[in-house]
Amino acid sequence: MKNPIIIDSLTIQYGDNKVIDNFSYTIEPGRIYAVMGASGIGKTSLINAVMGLIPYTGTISCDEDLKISAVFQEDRLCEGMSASRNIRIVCDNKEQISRIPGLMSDFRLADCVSRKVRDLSGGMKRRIAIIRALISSHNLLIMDEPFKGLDEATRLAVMNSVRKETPDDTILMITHDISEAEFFNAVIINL
Amino acid sequence: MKAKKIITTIACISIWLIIWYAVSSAVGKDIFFPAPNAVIGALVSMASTPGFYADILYSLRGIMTGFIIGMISGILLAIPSFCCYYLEVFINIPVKVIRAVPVASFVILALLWLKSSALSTLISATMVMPIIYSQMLSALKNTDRKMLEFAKVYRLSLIKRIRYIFIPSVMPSLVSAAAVATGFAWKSGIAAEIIGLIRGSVGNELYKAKLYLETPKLFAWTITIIIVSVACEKLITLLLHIISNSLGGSSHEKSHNN
Repeated sequence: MKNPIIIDSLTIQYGDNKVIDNFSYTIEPGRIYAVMGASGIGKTSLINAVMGLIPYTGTISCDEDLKISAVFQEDRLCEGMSASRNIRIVCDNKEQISRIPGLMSDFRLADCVSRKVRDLSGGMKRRIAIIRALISSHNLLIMDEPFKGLDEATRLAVMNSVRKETPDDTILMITHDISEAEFFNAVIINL
Repeated sequence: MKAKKIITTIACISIWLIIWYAVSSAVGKDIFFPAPNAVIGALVSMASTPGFYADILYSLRGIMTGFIIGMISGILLAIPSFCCYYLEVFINIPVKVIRAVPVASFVILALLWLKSSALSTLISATMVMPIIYSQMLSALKNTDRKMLEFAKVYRLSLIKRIRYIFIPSVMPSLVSAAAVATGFAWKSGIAAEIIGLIRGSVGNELYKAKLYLETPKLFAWTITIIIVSVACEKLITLLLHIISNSLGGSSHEKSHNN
């Protein structure tokens, strides 16, 4: 990401309900941001607007070639396919594909490579969704409560791996856990 | 569990055969209601002649060609309907007309336009197409919106979207629609053969059996049609399952909103 993402006077409305009203912010390249706030305050709406998935008023200006990777609130995996195939879907080249086994191992999923996603636990699916986002070529990584549902030991291991894999990335992450924001030394956006 | 199912099915078939035998005994005349043994005898006798298989092959070729044409056209018409609302309205009109027109009217009209040998193909195709079209369109419309959002964010190519999102989404509906459509193809195709008096077809043999009051033969041909129709249905379902599995499964995770 060469230039900052400038959010100016962003308003998101569902019917009569304004979830975000006249919000402005600048996301600098190479920084990590933790979007925090009470449930229903509009955190997911904000990142959905940045991803261009929902209508809004105001402007979000960014590089024309901005490539986004995302860990959605839900895992959004193809259940009938293997874990590695789900990740390969977003790969554009052999170099990305060659990283899959290593990352699967780092994320404690080495024995899940060829297992169908429908046979995996919620925590395993979550980690596959994170690996998919990390491997896909991107210059903005968006994560919506990425470590939700992971046990403490796995959560720490996954957070360490994410930090290792994203040294210079621009990250926009939703979390309810201040320790996650501190772990990533994130700038907090309080909605 | 499988053994239980087989035993239950055999037991139920046996009970129905007994009921059939009892009814035919009560009627007392094979010409009105033949006994199971008379029908089986007629079936064995028919199966020992080469003409029996030639008739089946002739009907099979015509009806299944119609099925394939109907299936392909149903899929190909559903895609533009899914992509454009105006095209959907435009295509829906003839589809609804085809669905509403009685088979007999279609056959008689088709006899004016086509040679009778192509009749069963045309009729089967016109019966299959609306079933496949509507199921395919509905499945496309029900494609998981969240998976489409995923594809958009990750900039997946159209080929990847089709392969990994649309095909797994439509396959379950397509398999069940194809199974239903196979039955319709056979019913309508045989009806067309009877009305069109197509020589060398199962429908024509059925008509002749009725004409000469060979009721056991009529029953035997009906059983033959059921067997061939069910065999086609199983084969098509199996083929579609194989295609679905080779493309990586048949369903997505159901997303949930928080």
